[in-house]
Amino acid sequence: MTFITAGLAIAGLAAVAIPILIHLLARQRRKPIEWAAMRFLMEAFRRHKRRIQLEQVILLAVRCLILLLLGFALARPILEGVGLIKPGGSRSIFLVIDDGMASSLEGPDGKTALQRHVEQATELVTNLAPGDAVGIITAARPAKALLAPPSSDRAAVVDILQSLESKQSPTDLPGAVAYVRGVVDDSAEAGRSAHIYLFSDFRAGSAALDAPLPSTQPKETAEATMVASPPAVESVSNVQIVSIEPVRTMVLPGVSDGSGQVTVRLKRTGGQLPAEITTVKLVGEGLGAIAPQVVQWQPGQAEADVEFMLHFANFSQNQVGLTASIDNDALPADNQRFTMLDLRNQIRVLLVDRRSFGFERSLDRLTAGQWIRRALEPLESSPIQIVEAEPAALDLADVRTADVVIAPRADLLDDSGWTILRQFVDQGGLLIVMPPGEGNVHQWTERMATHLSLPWRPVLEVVDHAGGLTLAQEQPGAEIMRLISSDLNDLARPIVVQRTLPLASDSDTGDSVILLADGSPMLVVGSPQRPTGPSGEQNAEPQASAPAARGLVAYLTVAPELEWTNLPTQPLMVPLFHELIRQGLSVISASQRLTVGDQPNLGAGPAARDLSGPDSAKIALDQAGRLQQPLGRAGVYELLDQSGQPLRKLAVNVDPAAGSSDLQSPAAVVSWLERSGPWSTFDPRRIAESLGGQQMGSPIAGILLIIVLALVILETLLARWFSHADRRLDAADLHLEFGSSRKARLAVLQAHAISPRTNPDAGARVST
Amino acid sequence: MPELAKTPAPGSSGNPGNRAENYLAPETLAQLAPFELRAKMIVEGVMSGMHRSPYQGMAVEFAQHRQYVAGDDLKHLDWKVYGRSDKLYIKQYQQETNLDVIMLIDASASMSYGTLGVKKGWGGTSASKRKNAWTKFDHATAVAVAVAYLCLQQQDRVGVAVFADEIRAMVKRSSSRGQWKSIVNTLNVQPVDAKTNLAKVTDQALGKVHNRALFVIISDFFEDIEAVRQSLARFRHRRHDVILLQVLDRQELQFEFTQPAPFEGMEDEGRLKIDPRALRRAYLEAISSHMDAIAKAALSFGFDYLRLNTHESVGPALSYLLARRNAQVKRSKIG
Repeated sequence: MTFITAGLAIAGLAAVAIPILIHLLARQRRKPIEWAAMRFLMEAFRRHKRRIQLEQVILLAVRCLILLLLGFALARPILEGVGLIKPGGSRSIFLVIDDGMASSLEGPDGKTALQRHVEQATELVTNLAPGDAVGIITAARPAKALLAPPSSDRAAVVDILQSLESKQSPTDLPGAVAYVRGVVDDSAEAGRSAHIYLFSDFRAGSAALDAPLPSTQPKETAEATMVASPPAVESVSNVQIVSIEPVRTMVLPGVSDGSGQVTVRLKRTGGQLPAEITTVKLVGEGLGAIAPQVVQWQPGQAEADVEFMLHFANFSQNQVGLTASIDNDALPADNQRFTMLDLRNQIRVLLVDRRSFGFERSLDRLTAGQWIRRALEPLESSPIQIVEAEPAALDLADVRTADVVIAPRADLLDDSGWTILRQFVDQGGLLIVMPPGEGNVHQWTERMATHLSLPWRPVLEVVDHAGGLTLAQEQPGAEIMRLISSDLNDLARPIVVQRTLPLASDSDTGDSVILLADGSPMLVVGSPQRPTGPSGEQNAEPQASAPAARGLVAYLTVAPELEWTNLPTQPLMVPLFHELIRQGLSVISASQRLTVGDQPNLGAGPAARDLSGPDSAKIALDQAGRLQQPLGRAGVYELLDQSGQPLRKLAVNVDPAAGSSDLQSPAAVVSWLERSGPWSTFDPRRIAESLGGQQMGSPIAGILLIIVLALVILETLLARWFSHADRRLDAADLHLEFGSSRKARLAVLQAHAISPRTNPDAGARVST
Repeated sequence: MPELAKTPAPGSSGNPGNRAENYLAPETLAQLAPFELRAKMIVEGVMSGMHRSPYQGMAVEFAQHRQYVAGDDLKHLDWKVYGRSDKLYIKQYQQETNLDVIMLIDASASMSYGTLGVKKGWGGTSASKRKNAWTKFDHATAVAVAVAYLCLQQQDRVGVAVFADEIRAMVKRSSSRGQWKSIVNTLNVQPVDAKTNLAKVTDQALGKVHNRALFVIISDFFEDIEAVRQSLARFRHRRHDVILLQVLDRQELQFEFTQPAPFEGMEDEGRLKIDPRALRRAYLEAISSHMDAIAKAALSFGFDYLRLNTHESVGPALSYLLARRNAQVKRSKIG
């Protein structure tokens, strides 16, 4: 048996104590009465003790039962699983509430979308039949059930609805619908019909119509109706900060390379885009006051970029947090954005190459490592510091302090060396690999493929390009080469390649940086797809959902030696390696973009233990470095080690797409919904009628009330009967009062010679 | 009973609680006036009085005839009978003597119960002053002084013994003028706080009285009926006359409590938490049965029994008692 309002049932249960307490207190507080004829009272008590106690117990039990049943009756019980009495309602109502970031969009009426949805849902709940049960699922990523299995406690449902707040994470309607489907199946097994109510404005931020909803059809045995709120039709303009894009996220404060430039990108959504003005502010720790920028939006203009120039002189800290903000508007969550810049005085490059011991060959005999050293240290004051390590003796200590590892002699690395490099990449390092200049068959590529698990794989044999192969005239414009992209085609034109160790044909070359004229990549980057196991070995089975490593692997299909290509002697050589290192590290740093609602693997290494949020709430990391709960809000987080000391800071931002207030066509929305099942829309003004008005009272409650009434009557009769008020004994019946005998009275009157008719007062009472 | 003290005797002064007049309201005296207290049985008397003496001889009241035997004094021969029937009969006369009245007044703790509120000007004993109510002991003393007054009016000797577990105080028999005030003063100061032991009291009382007398026992008789019966048997054995006056409070007779409460005995019977409404019938049956037993015991020994209610006047009840006793005496004379 369950109750619609369990609180009243509990109150009824508690009220049983009232008559007991009254009984006990009344017993305790009575003042003793001195009584002379105690012997007769005790004699009477002895004779009637058991009867009196039984009467009291019966009366107390009846009174307690009245209060208990009254509480139960008011709580409107539902008997389930009892064949005798059917519950008043047998429906499960699932309320799927969009509480994602878009739900905080304030409409023309001053209410947020979520507030309207809660009002509608509350009205629906308060008009349900007593036996109906309600479940609540929120659609903000990750979708979760706030109330499941469905509950008949109406007050609790309303309380939960009233406590809902918009999240900063995106709306995940597909996830919520998939979640509901599982719950509906459970409800069907319980023999209840299911009704799914989806409350959302279906703006572009809430519903991505290109992402299909999962099927909402429950099991064959289940009966489910699905109703959604109508898509919003009011235009609401929303300006959002889409991104903060520094030229480099790794900044060398002493180097004047223009890396202080930061671009703040704005976007407007909402359909009608009137002319308006937005002020953009940028704040950074230790950067002093930065002059705000003003954006004057033209009618219809949807995007705008704002440039800030920052100066990073004399910085001691390793990271600087930047916060961009704009004026408050209809959706506050995306009016602020955060990013972190890494500050380095030097970049440490570990060159894993056979040592030359200072021996310099002629230019045409220089090894790849020697060309690379020349390219990275063109000047004495280069911010790049090169450290060498022997490939066969590579250990963890060598790579621990390095930012970049360049392996021109990958063929000399054994398995332990590859394992160390894999760990280096997993923890955010940049590894640059290229074929060694010697040999035609390169079996090391198999070890590399095994250990790094890259999306691409070099072949075993060198390919000779008779007559030379030039670079493609149009380079792909990869992010890593962004700063030299304008000059890249010119720089690439004189490059001729005679030999390559290309990628296998089944490789994913989507991240090619520089292409050869035949379309194959000369430089490609990628991240390992599978993490290493606890012992450093790779997992035997691939895990599709396993996060990629934080770091990056760049593969040059050409050995930078003159036997392979003229690249080392061309102008491209220096900017190619400098940008590969500088921008590669920036890309790695930028790849750590964390979004509210995600539950990422931070790949922070074994030292990291917790992530401390802007509200000082901590999120623990599991052994693999994955957060144990999703990121709840935007801001700057701190990664803490086991002793609570900060390791580094991370910027967490909202997903700008989740804040889009663009309207979507109702027809398109309905079509999108119908692809997952027979959805229909309800009229928000008549939502109470959408269930068909099944307003049945609980028959149990009625029966209980009748029983209570009968018990009240019984209690009244028993109380009167046990109080003996109805059998009130006249003392004269027992001849206890004086003058009860007429004969005695007459004797006195005759002695006085008084007539009782003339002097009735003289008839004083005397005993017989 | 209130009217007993409402109208003190004219000329009274001083502390009203200690004044004899407070116990004798004019109404009470008026109702007692037509009667005389006569012993139902023949008592010995040492003074000339209104009661028949067992010693027959020169008394003025003719008793009976008997046949002349040799040796009888001829002056008692009834010549008129001899002239009519030629038979010799001697006239016998009955001497009128004084009556010794001894009142035993119960001063046990149960006698301090009362529910009638005391009003200003009423007399009363230490019990009523302590409880501010007209107690059974107050009523008993009022009855006692009324009877004493009546007896003294007809030259009878009156004595008083106040008892509880034993005789606590005593006023010796006397018919002097100051006797009545002595009785009143004695009753006024008696504590009412001990248990009752009627058997012991009976022993003590009988030990002090050697001639036949009228005992008036004024008590609530909350004693075992067997103890009461044994006491009465001993009085009867010594050929005394006894009047039992049972004084009860109205609440004891009606038991009209309505709220559950603990009841505590006044003579250490213990405490009992009860709902009085639930026990009323059983209680009334118990006390009724006890009173019937007392009355039957009294009648079985030929004694008078009268029940008095503290909420009612003394006069009518005593009037009834005296009337009944007079009627019995007349019937015995005629018989």
